[in-house]
Amino acid sequence: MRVTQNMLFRSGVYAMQERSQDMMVVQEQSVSGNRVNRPSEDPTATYRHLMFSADLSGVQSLKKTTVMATERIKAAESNIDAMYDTMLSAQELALQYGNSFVGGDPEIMKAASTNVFSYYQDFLKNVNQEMDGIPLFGGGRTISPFDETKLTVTDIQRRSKNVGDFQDVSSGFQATLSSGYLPKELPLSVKMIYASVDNTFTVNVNGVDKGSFSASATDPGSWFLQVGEKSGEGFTFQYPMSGLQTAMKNSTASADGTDIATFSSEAVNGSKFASTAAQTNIDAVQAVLAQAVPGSDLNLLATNMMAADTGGTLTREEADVLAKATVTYATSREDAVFIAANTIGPQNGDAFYFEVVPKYQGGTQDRSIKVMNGRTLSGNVTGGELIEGTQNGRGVNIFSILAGLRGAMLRGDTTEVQARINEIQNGAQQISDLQGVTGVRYTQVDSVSNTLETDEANLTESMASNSEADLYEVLSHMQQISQSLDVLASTQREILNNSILNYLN
Amino acid sequence: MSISDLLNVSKMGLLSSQSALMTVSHNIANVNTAGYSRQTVEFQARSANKHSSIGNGVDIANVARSVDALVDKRIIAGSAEEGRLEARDRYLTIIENVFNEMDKDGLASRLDSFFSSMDGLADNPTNPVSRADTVAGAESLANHIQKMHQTLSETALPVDQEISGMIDDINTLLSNLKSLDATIVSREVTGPALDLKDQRHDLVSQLGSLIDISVLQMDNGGIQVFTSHGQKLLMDSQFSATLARSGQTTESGFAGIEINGTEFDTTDFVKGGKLKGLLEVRDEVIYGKEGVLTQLDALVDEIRFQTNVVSSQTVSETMYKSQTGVFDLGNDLNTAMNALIPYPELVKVGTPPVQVKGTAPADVLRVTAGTLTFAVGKDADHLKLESVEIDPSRTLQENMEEIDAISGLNATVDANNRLVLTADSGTQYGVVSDSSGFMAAMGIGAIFTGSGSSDMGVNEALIADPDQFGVAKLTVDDPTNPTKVTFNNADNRGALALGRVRERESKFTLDSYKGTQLGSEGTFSFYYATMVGLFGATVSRNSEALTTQQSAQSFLTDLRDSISGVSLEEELTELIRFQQSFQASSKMVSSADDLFQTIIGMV
Repeated sequence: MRVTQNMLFRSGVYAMQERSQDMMVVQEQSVSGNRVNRPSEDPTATYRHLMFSADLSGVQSLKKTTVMATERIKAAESNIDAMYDTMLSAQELALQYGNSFVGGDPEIMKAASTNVFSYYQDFLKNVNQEMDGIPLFGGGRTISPFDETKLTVTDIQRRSKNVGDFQDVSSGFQATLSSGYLPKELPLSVKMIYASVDNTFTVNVNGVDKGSFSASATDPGSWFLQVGEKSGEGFTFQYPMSGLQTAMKNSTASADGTDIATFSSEAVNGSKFASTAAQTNIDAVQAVLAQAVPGSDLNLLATNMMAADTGGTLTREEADVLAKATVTYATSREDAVFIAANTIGPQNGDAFYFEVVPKYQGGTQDRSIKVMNGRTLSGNVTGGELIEGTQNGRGVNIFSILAGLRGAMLRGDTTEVQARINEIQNGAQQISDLQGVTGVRYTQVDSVSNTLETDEANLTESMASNSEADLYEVLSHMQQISQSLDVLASTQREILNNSILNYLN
Repeated sequence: MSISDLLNVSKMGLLSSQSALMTVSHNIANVNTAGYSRQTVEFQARSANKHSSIGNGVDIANVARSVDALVDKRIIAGSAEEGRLEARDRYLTIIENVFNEMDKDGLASRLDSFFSSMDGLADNPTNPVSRADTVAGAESLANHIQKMHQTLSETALPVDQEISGMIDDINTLLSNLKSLDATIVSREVTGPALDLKDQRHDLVSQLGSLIDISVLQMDNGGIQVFTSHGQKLLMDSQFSATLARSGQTTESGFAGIEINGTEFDTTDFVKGGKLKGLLEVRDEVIYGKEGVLTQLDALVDEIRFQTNVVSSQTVSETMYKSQTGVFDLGNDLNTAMNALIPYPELVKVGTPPVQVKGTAPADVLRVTAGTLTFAVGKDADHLKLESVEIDPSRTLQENMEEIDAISGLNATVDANNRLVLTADSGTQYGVVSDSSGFMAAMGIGAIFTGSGSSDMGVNEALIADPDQFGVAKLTVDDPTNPTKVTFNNADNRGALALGRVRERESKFTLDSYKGTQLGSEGTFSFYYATMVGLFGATVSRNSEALTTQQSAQSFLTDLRDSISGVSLEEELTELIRFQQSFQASSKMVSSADDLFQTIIGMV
């Protein structure tokens, strides 16, 4: 083949350009630290790089949020620990003063009530604790979970004859705080004792006697209890009339929405049963249920239409009743059902209690924590669960317990303190349960956080091996190209200078 | 035979050597002239006359170009492909830079950053800084996408301008070729038009690198040029075609190309050359069914709709008293929604068909039959559930009237043609769920605005007040059959749901391509990584093909050079050779003169 000058030049220039391009790639690699600097250099590595980057971004984001969530749960756990300790202190105090030998002195008990008040305040402080501007136990709301301007009146409890344990009362009892009234001293513990002789209630609020009032003759009875300084500041206390004073005009029992029995007036308490039956907490009526199998449970809805003997407006009262079919008295009334209607009114000597405490203002669910794609964990437990015993709680109102204990201490009543020990223990157990729940959540989130850390390290390593430049390789390559350029330049010089022209002279 | 014959023979030798030296000189002078074909002198012995058997010296029989027609043909054919690949490579490199994610400052990192900010927001949904950060992340994403669109469309514009320039170049080349060819034909009658043929070859090569052509050599020395598909470009030195931009628009929205006043189907009729490369860049790489802008638009459509679907079912830190949709409802509220033409789709309507642009909201055809449930009430704890059934076979007006019928909630259209939801005085509301996508399509509670990558933006209401960003979801007692609803202002399920959008697998389709699915079903990141990876492969493939083609061309050029190129060594040797023959002929003259003097001396 003939070789021309142009061929030699072109070949030299082409080779030099190629080396220069290689040099530029090496320069880019050394500057950026990346083996791949544009998609076309290695499309597959680019694809992997982008996928790794997306995964890494997700993992880093999750890691960040789980670390913050871990801190939040940790803070919550520490507050719950403090609450549990407070409950144990309250329990210890109740055990000490519920024993008449140790805590019989009302003055000492009054003095010790300040401890209970401080427990209440500790709880209030702990449960309203905030982190990052949001309450730890607000359940997805920024509002302070418990605020002494937002109050609730607890369900009324009864101690029969003012002795023994606390019992729930029927649905007829209810206390309501008058609108706009904010007691100066919180929490409030109210105790009322009923005397059938003169049909009166004697009232005590936080150890201070507030006098007595006559029970109303209407059914249900309603009485306004003046507690505040201004007129109208207090509670409305509603109560059902005693079964002895009530005549049941019409009663039906229904199951699944279908009436299955109608009680005749003869079945009214006091008519079929001895009057002593009314002394129990269960007022019973009887009806024939042809389909009932003796011994079986029946979920019934008892509907009583009641009116006082003296007449007046009929009152409708409904209650879910678990009745038991049983064989009874009369041969003609086999398969009869006793229905616990719980409509009994106050009995002589009965003590009724209720408390006025802050009401939970937060939500029912806390911020979930995202732990991986498509999966979340629950966040903190709510103030509602902790203090009012909702959802994961045991249905115990801690503030009510502390208010009641304080009230009992202020009243110097060792038996009342004694009676409250059970609910204090339940309260402690409730806090303990939620402590456990929080602990488990902390462990879960912490474990996820650790896993994410490992994922991050793995992904970072994968990314590095996929697209980062090996500097040793880059330098070696650069050296190689540099040498190649040197050789090429000198060779070209020789080739291009080597001409017959040199010999023509 | 006389001494004067001897002088004549010597003279012929001198003249021939002089001509040969002229040719060598011409060759040396053109050693660096592109396309020059070395010329060689062909000597021919002058035969003896009829009275003698001794020859009469030498003649220049011919001065020939050293060319190989086949090699030249292959070079022209190869230059078309090289031109195509070069044009593509130049723009592919520019476009690749738009998708270069290796510097961690591209769309992928912004997408990740936007969704990561959602996770941060979920951690503390009431933090105003987190909200502002998320809105800023959305803006950064939208701005970057707009910038990508701008760069890509601005790349298409110079490509189109270059196409126009190239058409002018082709016309000029054809015109020059026509006149040069005519000169060659007329010159060839008297003798070879050596250098003119080189010039013509050079013009043909230039033309061949712009558009794929085939050349026919005619007996009279002229040529005929056709496109490889058979369109006549140059005929018998008499006719040269004229290319121009036509009045018709292509699918990409650019003016077409006509040849001699007739529309030229560039897709089918142009197969190579820089023109083809530019057309491919404009109509296939940037625009077109699988163009990067089309793919980007599909991604943007999905990001916008999927994000808006979730955000339209969230509530901000406070419930809403009023919300305004971000999309223009279009000019037809009384046609069934599923029969509307969404913006910016182009469709042909009427007889004869006229291309029109849709006016309905971009996502209107994504609305499906479903239930839209609101919570309306005076505060977070006193909310009532209200549901309406959205039916895409009903009109926008009818569906809005359904919402307007909800107690405490009003649906109207404002002066800007946007849907406005307003609660009665003392009432607030929020969207509990929307299985129809109606709220997102109308832009209520939307994060992203626009209809594609060209105008993607962020809801102005969110930019003005990031606290409006919806991070909470309304809490219902039973998601499948809700009867009770409450609102928790620090609820983070809205933010969590928005964060999960990046994990959702979508089908990426474009209505303007009749719902053609682009790429595989997957997450945004997967789709984009695939898109970038495949584009990288396209660039790489083109680059490799170009390198291969350049090597092939380089080989052919070397081959041509070895046949037609000037070798200085060779020419210098020839120089010595002809110099010597000239000297020898001179010596012969001198000898003849001596002989002559001898004879004169004898007298």
